[in-house]
Amino acid sequence: MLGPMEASRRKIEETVLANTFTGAFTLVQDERGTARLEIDVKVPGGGSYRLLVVAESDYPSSMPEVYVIQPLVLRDAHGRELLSISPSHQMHLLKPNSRFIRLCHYKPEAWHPNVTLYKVVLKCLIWLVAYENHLQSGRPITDYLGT
Amino acid sequence: MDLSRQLPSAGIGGELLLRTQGVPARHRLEFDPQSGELRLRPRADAAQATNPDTTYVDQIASDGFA
Repeated sequence: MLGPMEASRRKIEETVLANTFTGAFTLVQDERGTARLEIDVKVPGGGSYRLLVVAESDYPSSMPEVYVIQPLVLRDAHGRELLSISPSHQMHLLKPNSRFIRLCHYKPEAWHPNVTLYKVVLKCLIWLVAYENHLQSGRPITDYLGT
Repeated sequence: MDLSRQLPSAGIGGELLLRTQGVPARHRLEFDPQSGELRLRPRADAAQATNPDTTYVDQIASDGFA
């Protein structure tokens, strides 16, 4: 049974994702209407990551939450686990759940129901690029993404 | 002062650094659906993009992170 994310919206989300992340994602929706997107992304010349995007039942009115679920442990340039230093403005990390770091992506004032999960994923891919550059340079992620 | 001569410029990270320093973007940031990766394209070549499914990510990158 589909929840508040209407079937037509879900079709759009799946079509856009399938055109660009073919075979690299799953999108499921539970009986309460919460949608969970798991998607594999790659940083150019760098690592591979799996993101979990959780869109609550009031999506797309509300912003989805994005977690990095693989690799399970990510560290900063100083060797500290990102989970242990979250939330962190300098690293653009929000308060995590118990296991996974949660990425900042859209500002609330920039969020609009027309923004798709695809664009959220691209934004998080940019975060991952900034993260890998942070590992090499030691610069905070805000240096790459702004404050 | 030409910041682009003083800051690291290699790759997407270098481009992002320059942008946060206020240096005008020299490349267009794109997502290539075939490779599944972000890439940079010199602005002068942007009109020659051949894949109609390419997504231009500049706006997504520049509208800020929470």
